[in-house]
Amino acid sequence: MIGNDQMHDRARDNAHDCPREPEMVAAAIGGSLTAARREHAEACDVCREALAIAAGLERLAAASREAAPTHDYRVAWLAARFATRQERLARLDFLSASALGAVLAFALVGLTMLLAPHFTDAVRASIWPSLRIVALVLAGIVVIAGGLGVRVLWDRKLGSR
Amino acid sequence: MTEQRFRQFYESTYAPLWAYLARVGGDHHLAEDVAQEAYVRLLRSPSTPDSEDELRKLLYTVALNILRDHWRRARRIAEWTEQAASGGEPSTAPDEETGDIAAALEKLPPQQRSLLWLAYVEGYEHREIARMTSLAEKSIKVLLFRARKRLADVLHRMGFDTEVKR
Repeated sequence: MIGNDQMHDRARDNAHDCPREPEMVAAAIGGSLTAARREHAEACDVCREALAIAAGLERLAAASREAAPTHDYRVAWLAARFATRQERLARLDFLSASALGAVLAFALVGLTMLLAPHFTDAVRASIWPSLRIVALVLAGIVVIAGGLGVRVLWDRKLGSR
Repeated sequence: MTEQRFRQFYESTYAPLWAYLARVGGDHHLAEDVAQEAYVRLLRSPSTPDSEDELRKLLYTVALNILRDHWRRARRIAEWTEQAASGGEPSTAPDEETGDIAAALEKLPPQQRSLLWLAYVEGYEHREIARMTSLAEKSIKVLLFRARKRLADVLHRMGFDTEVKR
């Protein structure tokens, strides 16, 4: 047995809810508000209110869209590319830095021995007789490592396009 | 995403996105900043949807998140909740055509503005709005109903007729 108050609440809830409201709003936005739908809206408080709100908001949206400032898309495009490159640079981790440091150290030692042999003569005579051979080997390693490094950088550049 | 595709997407979505952000955030300059940041984040995301509709939804989701972060940072998250409607002066000068609805909309909390805009201007379904706003799908219907009712009440108080029998 439903009391008067409960019936009143139910009637009020029904008045606030219409299963066709989403369909009506979608039709209004899509420009397909047919005669049948208009007829329903005339008889339904919920849909009439929803359509009135939708129409008002659409007028406001149209005016707002016209007032939108104009920006070149390239501002966002370049900003994104710049940020991505900054991030890649930041990702240069400890291992990469160590490898780079080792390669540079080998290069320095190798070049010193090749270009200034008198500087290493004393060392070579006393502690390391085959130092010049080692220097040549190191120079070879540096050349190979350098080549690999250039290849990696080139691949990264291609990957960023 | 190729530059050409981004250009087309940007040119077709910038004005509607800016309008949405300006009306939800109530600040034109903030809307510009948030829109720009949203596009940058979209470009930097590891993968973007192929579908234009999905990309647009993602853009609105990202923009809304940036707007919320802004408010959070500014310690104004309370404005996002139901309890704290702004009720302030409209940030835009009303005109004859849209003044009433613009002023009424500004009296609603940003969450309600956002829901109304996504549903009644952009035409998104409840399921889509739920995903974009990180709210439960079941609660969208109720929240949207409250928002619509509140906007209608404000409009009535302002003397605007939404043609609803009372």
